[in-house]
Amino acid sequence: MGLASYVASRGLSLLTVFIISVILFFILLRVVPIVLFGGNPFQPNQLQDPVLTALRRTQEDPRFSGWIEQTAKIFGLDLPVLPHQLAIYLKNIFTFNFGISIYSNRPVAEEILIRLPYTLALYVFATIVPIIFGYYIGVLSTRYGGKFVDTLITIASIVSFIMPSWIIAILLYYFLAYVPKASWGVTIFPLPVKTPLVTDLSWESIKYWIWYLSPLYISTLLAFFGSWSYFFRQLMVSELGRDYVMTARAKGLPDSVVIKREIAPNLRPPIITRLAYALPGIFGGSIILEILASWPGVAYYSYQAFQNYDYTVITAFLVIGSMLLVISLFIADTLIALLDPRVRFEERR
Amino acid sequence: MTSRNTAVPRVLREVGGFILSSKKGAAGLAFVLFYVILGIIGPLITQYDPIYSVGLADNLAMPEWFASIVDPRAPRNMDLSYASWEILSDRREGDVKIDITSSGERVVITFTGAGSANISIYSKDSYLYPYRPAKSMLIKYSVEIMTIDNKTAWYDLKMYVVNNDLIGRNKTIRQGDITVTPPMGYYAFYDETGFKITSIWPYSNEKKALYNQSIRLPYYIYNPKQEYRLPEFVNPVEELLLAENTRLSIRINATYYCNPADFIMRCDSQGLRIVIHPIRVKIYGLAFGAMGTNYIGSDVATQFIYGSRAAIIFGFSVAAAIVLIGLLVGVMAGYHGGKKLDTLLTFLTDVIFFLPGLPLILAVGIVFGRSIYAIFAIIVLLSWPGTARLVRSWSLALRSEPYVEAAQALGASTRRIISKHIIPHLTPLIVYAIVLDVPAAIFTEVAIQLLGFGDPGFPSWGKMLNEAYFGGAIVSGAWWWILPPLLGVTTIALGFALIGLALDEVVNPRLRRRV
Repeated sequence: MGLASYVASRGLSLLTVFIISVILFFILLRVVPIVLFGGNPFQPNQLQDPVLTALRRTQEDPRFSGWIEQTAKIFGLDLPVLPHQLAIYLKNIFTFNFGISIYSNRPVAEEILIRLPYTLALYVFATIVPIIFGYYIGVLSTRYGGKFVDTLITIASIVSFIMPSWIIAILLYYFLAYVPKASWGVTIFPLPVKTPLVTDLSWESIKYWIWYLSPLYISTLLAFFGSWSYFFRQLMVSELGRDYVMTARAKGLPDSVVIKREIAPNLRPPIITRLAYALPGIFGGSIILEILASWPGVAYYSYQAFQNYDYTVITAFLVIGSMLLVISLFIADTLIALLDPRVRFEERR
Repeated sequence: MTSRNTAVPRVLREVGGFILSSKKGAAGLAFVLFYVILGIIGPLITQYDPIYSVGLADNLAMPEWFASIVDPRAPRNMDLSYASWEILSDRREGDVKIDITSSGERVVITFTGAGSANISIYSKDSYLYPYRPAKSMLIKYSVEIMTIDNKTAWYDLKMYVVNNDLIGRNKTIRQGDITVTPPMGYYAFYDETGFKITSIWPYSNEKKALYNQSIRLPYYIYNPKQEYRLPEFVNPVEELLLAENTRLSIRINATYYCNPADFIMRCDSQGLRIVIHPIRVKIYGLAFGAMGTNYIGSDVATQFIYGSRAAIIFGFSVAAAIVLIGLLVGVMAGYHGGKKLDTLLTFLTDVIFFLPGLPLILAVGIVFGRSIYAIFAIIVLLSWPGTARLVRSWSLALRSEPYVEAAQALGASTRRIISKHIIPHLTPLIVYAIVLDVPAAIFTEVAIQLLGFGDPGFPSWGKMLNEAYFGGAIVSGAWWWILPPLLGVTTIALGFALIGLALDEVVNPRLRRRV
């Protein structure tokens, strides 16, 4: 059994998990409401079907006549929910066909693509910078192990780990945006009122959106670096106690070389696994942060979809999130298997 | 090994002693205990309800102590009661007889005979109003108007709050191009014909029995027959009715009209009877309690206290459920490591890692309704595998300890080994898991409430935060409304963080091996 079969078996198990979670979404959003309203999911054309009801309501409007048939065809709404619609739903997922938003009458993929630049503008920074910051803080903490700096960093990390980003964002907006503005007329941070256009790539507009998002950048940095620095510190400390490090030091290698040449390769697999879980968050984002900043990203859109029971958008949001996670975990597993041959052998045992 | 009943408490005592021995742990425990005690004695120190007690003072009233520093003249709540009356003016034409009697606390005005009459009565009591003008007041009254039928005499009844020292003056109000000079010193709170937009006749002939009516002044209904019209920016109570060191009383004006020549009227001996019960006035203060009021006049201190109760109960019950499930599954999987249960646990963890937490809670919220039990269930369902994994890895290591092997060799049952030898050693880990799970559960609940998907009947800090953030606490400068929930959530989390920090070295002993 080599690399290929290991990767294939991991891919298969990830695919199973993905399909199961996707079926769970379908059961929760499609089957459970029908059962709750007293319908039978094994029969077609239920009166108790909220999606059909929403469609029927708009059918009276002549403008929507065309897309109802289209939506009904895409989702097989005239067929029974459980075996048929589930099959169509799974087929649609694997052909990336997310249909049309029930609320806004536009393709879901298009709606998400419009909002994607906003999401990326916020979360590429908010996800990646805390990792880098946390890494250096963690290394610093290991270097000064047991000293005052280490204790301070540990306290800061735990506080940051427990504190959610949106609490910090509210506090920032209140104390550094509203209070100075209202009390002394000083503008430090902007109040979340005039959302910038991130698709306009002139220098002025980029400056404005970075300034507009700076409270969110700061709050996500403060909220997320803790778990990373703690994670890196724990990894480093446990590795530093190993025999091979002692050997390397006994040979007289300087600390920087020990870390770079001896320790770093051993740290890669756990770091890659954590990154694989963290990076898909760029797409999902944080609903609360976007609402606080009135930032029209994908998460805010999904929040609106939840409020309107926009079934297609909710499904698309959940499914795309899981899909990205599956892909990123698969890449991570492949990378780890390439980097660390032990994994492959352990799997065989 | 000690017996089963004392092993876990002994380890708990040790863990507690460890927490207390470090400064951080003791400080964190103090924070948490503060909120636990606040939550327990909550109903004893506040008599209000966190959700249903509204209108305790004016909207966005500032805290009492803050008012005494920055604005000592700020209006406070005042309860006035008017029960005794005297006649101010009495005009009659024809042979109308007016009889005024007071029975108990009520006053009864009886008109009989043909003709017309107008009588004004004044409350004998007048109360000194010592503060800056308040913004609103509540009038509670009960009135009965008795006629025999529609064909008896016709009448009109008006009731006013009157400021004895301002009446007769006019005020000039300018804003931009608009200048108005409304009369000062009175405000009608009951006007039988004036409030009837459709009636064209200045009298009414209806029988009425209005008990326990209350009206909040100023009212914002459009009233075409109001005696003076005001632009929208004028608050009549604040600007026209109230002034510092003036006296407030009540005036009632009753008009009677009965014309025997009119074929639809019958002026028989029964006449018209108006019964007026004591009138109570509540002036809403702008300074109230320890933490002021929110946008509907609820006591923020009460909400804060009940919020700590909700946070502690919710946080600990979620953490307990997570740890219980995690412990059961984790110990079983770890003790029988590598078997089917182990594979199943790994698989479940994988699936649950795929379920996005907050969106799923919102989805459950729209499908099952916004119930705190649904939120509880979904948080527990999504969180237990993490703890189970942790417990599994620990019990996997404990399984090969010599004393476990010795117990196995002596023929002890699996149940006995787990309960006597493995669980006591997991106690520090369990405490650590609870310490990290409680703030996470509190924050999740607060986040759901902040999004508006929480249980509206659950008086948590999240509900406060939701109302404050989206109800304009920031823009209206009501810091006493938005800061307490933020402070509560932050400090309780800080408390747990400090305890977690103290426990960190027990749970992760390899971190003690410093470089």
